[in-house]
Amino acid sequence: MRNLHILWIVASLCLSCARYDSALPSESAGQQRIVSLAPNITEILFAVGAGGTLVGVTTYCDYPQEASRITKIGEFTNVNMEKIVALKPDLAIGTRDGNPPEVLQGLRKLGIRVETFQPATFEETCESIVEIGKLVGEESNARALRDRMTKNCEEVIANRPAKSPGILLLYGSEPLVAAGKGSIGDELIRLAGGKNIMAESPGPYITTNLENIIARNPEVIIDLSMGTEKNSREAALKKWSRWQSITAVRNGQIYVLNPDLICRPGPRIVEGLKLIAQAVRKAAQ
Amino acid sequence: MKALSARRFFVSMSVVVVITAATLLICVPISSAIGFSESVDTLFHPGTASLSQYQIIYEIRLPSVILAAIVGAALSVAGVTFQAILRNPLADPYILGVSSGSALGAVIAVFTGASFALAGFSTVSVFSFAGSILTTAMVYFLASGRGHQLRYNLILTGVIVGAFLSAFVLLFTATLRHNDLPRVVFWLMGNLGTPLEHFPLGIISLYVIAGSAVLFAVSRSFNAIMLGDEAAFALGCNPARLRTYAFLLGSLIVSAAVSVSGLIGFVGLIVPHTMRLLVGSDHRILLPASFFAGAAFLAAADTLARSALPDRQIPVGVVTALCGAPVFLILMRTRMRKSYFG
Repeated sequence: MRNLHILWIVASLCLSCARYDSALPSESAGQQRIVSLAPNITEILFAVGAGGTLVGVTTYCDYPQEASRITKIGEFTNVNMEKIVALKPDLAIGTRDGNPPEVLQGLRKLGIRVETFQPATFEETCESIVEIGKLVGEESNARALRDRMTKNCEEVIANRPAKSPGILLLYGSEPLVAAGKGSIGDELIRLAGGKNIMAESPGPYITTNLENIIARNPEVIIDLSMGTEKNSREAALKKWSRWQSITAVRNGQIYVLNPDLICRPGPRIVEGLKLIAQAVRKAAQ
Repeated sequence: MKALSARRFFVSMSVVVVITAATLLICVPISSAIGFSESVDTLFHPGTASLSQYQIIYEIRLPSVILAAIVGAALSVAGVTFQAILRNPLADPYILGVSSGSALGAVIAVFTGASFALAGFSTVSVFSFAGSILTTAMVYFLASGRGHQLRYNLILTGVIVGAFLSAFVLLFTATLRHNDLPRVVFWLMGNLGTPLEHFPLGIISLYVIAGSAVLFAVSRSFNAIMLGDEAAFALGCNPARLRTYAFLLGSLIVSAAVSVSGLIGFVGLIVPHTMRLLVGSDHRILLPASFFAGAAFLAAADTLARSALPDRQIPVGVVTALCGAPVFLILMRTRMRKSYFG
């Protein structure tokens, strides 16, 4: 009986040692193995030329095309830890808002290095790109990308119209969620020369209702909830057509954009900015 | 408890109807978007209002208040009905599977991303109505057998079917895309904010009013069934048939209400009990009184939920519970002299 006890204790000790062994990251021939925990991180990594280092991405990582072929490790909160460990990554890159602390801490406890980025403005997005570039050894590409983005932004600012039309940027329809002060959407509106009609309300995401929208009467409505199919703009125009008291509806200034261009703080945010600027210029004529 | 005389009926009902009408009338001009005096002006002088003011008052507030009234009335009448036929004070309109059935329909609608409007009703509304109708039919067929057993079978079957379907609701919700999740949560919390157009609003109103009128017509039988099945039989009421028809009709009414408003809790449970304390438990007055009281209660709660905080909205279910519970407890402590359910 006593021998059985000793055997049991020895076996447990061996097993607990073995657990840490398999979690040590293995570096093969200097090529990093990176797991991305958010779609914007994936886009940044591809944009700086480090797409080849990615061994795991989330199910939402759909851009660029090559990202869809990489092993899926779960979503923002529902992450498959076993799969990540099995991929033997050197580094996991995530976000502080999108990925809950339990996931990030869990990965750290398994011995995986985790770095997080949470850019809240256009400038912070550019800086995150440079920081990620440094992490993966593509600093020069990252700096070049940042410079291109900054230049595009300056062009947009230089072409701002004299009038600032009132803009409503909607993330969702059920419920109606608008971009408020402190969100990247709000900043893009300002950079493009527009005036966010929800800017006085505190909080980056504002659950509002139709009465408020009608009362504030925007000249442009950018509806991100309608998807990106060919007939999305038609569907949006039809959806809003009932509320003719809104200037944007009367003048047909309703736009549908790919929400990923605004909600993913990464390289494509400059495209979102340009599209918003187009809408602003058209409305200001 | 005094017997119900015609005079008492008319006096009580008049008070209830007047208070309800006044509440609804006050609710319409309350909006966080425009000032009260401006709203009242627009309400009574629509010709002189700007298009914005007109659209806010006549195309958003007025339909919203009417919708809240109809949904509140439907839930309250169904609550009274189910409490009577199940002789259970905890029965609410959702207990017999309607909530899970409609939730499942709504989640499937969001999951498949289908998009078509039927007579002005959104896809989610159509699917959730279908879901609750099918669930009602399922519960009915599973529970029926020997007529006089329907009471126990009904409540058990309803709860079990409800739980089974809830599992599917959870499954679909867990596999939804990130972007669709708020839509489902929003629906499940109950929402009266999407202004219906005149035609669908009219259809829902007629439907609920007609169904409630039929239930009012048999309110005497509800009194009888509260005394027990044997006593009811002796009084000339057929308990099995009453239970069947009341269950089906009540579920139909609730299905219609829930399909446009989502799952607003608490109304169907608390309004019947509150009215019992105020007008007594004679169903000839309890049913119509609950109809109007439910309408006023939900309209007021929804108005409060939408205009209490500037720019933001509180879910209406939060207001109904936060305000309804203390009011009910006060009434219960001051007025309840005996238990109505034995």
